[in-house]
Amino acid sequence: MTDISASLRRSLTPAESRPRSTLTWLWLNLAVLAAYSVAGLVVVLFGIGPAKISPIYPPSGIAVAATFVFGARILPAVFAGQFLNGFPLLDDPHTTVANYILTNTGTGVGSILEALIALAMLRHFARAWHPFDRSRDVVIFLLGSSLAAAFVCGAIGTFSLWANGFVPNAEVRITFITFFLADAAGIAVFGALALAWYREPWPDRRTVVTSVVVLTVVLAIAGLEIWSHYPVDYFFLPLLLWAGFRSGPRGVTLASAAITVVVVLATTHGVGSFVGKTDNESILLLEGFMAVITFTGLLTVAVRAQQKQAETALARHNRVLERRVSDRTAEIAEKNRLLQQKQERIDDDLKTAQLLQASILPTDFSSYANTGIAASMKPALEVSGDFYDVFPIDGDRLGLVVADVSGKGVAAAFFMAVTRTMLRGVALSGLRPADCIDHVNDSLYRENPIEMFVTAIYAELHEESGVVTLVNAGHCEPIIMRADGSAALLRRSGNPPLGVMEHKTFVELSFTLGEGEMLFLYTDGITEAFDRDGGLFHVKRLLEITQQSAARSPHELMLAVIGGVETFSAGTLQADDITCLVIRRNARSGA
Amino acid sequence: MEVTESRIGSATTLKIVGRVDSSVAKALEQKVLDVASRDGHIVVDLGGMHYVSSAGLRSFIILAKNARAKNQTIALAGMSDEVGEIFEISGLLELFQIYDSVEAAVAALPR
Repeated sequence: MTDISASLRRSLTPAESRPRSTLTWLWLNLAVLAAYSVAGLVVVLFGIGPAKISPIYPPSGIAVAATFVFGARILPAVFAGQFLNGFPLLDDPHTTVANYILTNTGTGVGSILEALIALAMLRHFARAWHPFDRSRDVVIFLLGSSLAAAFVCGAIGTFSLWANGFVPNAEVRITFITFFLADAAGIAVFGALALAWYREPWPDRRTVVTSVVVLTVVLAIAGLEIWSHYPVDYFFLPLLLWAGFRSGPRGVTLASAAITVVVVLATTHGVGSFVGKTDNESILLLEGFMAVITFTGLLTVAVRAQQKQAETALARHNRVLERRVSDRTAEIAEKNRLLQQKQERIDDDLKTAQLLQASILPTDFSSYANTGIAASMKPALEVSGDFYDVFPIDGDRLGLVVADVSGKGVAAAFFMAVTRTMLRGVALSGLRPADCIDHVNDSLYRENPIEMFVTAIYAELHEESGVVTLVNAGHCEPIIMRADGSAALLRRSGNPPLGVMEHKTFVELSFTLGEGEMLFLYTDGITEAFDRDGGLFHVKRLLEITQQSAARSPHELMLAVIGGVETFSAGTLQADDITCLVIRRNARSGA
Repeated sequence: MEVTESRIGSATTLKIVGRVDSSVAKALEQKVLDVASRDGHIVVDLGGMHYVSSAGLRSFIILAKNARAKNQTIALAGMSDEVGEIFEISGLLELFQIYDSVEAAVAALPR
């Protein structure tokens, strides 16, 4: 029970439940009563035939629209209006006070029921208070709020007239049909008109223009019809659709109401397409026409409204999408900025590392009077795993190092710094070269968490005698350039690189560098440089260049080799660090 | 250079064909690290490798260092005299077990 009454209450909720004061209630009812009565008087104009039967009953539209908007509280005005609209009965000779009151009370109750059923149908099935937004609502409005509601009212009204003797048995059927269809048409045409203009009461320029054009053209078509006596009612159809497309519900309801009024008036004067052989036939033809234009017009605006809703929804989705895209873009830009910041920090760090690395490589060899020295290190990346070193061990001896750490980049550079410092430290303690290398090898083997290793040459040059004591730990074979202009590789002696095997005893070699003779130490960045076709520079090319440059200074030899490699590998990316160290035992001046 | 990988019993066999120098050292190093990351002993078939440069040797040292950390045995099989000499003067023979052929290497592997 509660469910049904709650559902009924929901179904009967009007568009406006406020204001609720008694005074407002009174005013609303008086206003609706006035409108109802005026609309009722208009019927007199529409009456067809001697019985003055109207094919349309506008008051039912006003009652239904008012109920949609204000709810059951205006039903007293509907009842009173319908009661008062029964005044034509006064002309009837059978009228008595009793049957007059009974009949009009009956039709009044019918009108109340009609309005309530109309409201309930739309509220319940369409959950709306007007039929302008969805095509489904148009069907509900026309079938439920208009035809079904009017059917009930027509039945009650006809019964009241028949029971009180105002309608003879023979006319019950036609009275019911006329009553029913006139009410339905009144709701469909004038109810829709009132709702449309109540929903959007303030006409904009566009609507005013539409209204003026609609009224003018309707009158013009009517005039044409009256003047020419041709049935040109189909001219109304494009006007109806134009009004709907241009101004929506207001345009289309105004057009269908104007067309209805004109067509009904023309028919009452025997003009137009709807003049039938009998009055009833005329009335039915008019009803059919009104049904068609109302349905067409309302459906047009509903479909247009749905299309607009879809467009609005699409536009909204697009806006949301655009906002999301722009949000995401901003997010990415921010991430890029952070990434760039990080990259800049890394670049700065690498630059600092490069500077630091370059600063531990000696570059000024001018203090070595008896030995000509040239050296160069060119990293493949920002930082290098190659290094060279030249340092005096004591008054007579020079320490010479060229080394290559496995791998490249920061890890190699760090390992290079460790190796260089360790080797120099051990060498300065005065140990023999092989012992130094044994020591460094074991240290690197033990303190080497990432399995790195170093190939290295450590040589000790006795400046006075020219004796070189050299340990080659898995490194490229040095080149000795003799005074006779020959250049030869100094074979390796089977020592592994540093940091590969523990407790290894490294083998050292000795040879004497004559005056003017040179020792060329390098890394495999030179011999393994490749050209555009993948060909290796190879030690053979290095030997050729050194032979050609035998008579030159260490610096010139170095430039010749580096230049040779650069020419050879032009157009390729430098794959490995390139390092060389050139030593020449100078001629003994004054000795 | 071409490297093909196969399995004989529990051992992984790497067959290296061609010259191994700086232009391929990186690829060989990747392959070698990949193989060394797995379990089982490793036999490297050097029958088709006719030259190895110092950059190429680095890949072998990396293989040996990684294998030693995991107690894997690395066997080098079928290397030519020239290649054998390069390994010898580079002091790297000690890092590996050397066999004349892959079959001999597989037969000698610890079970």
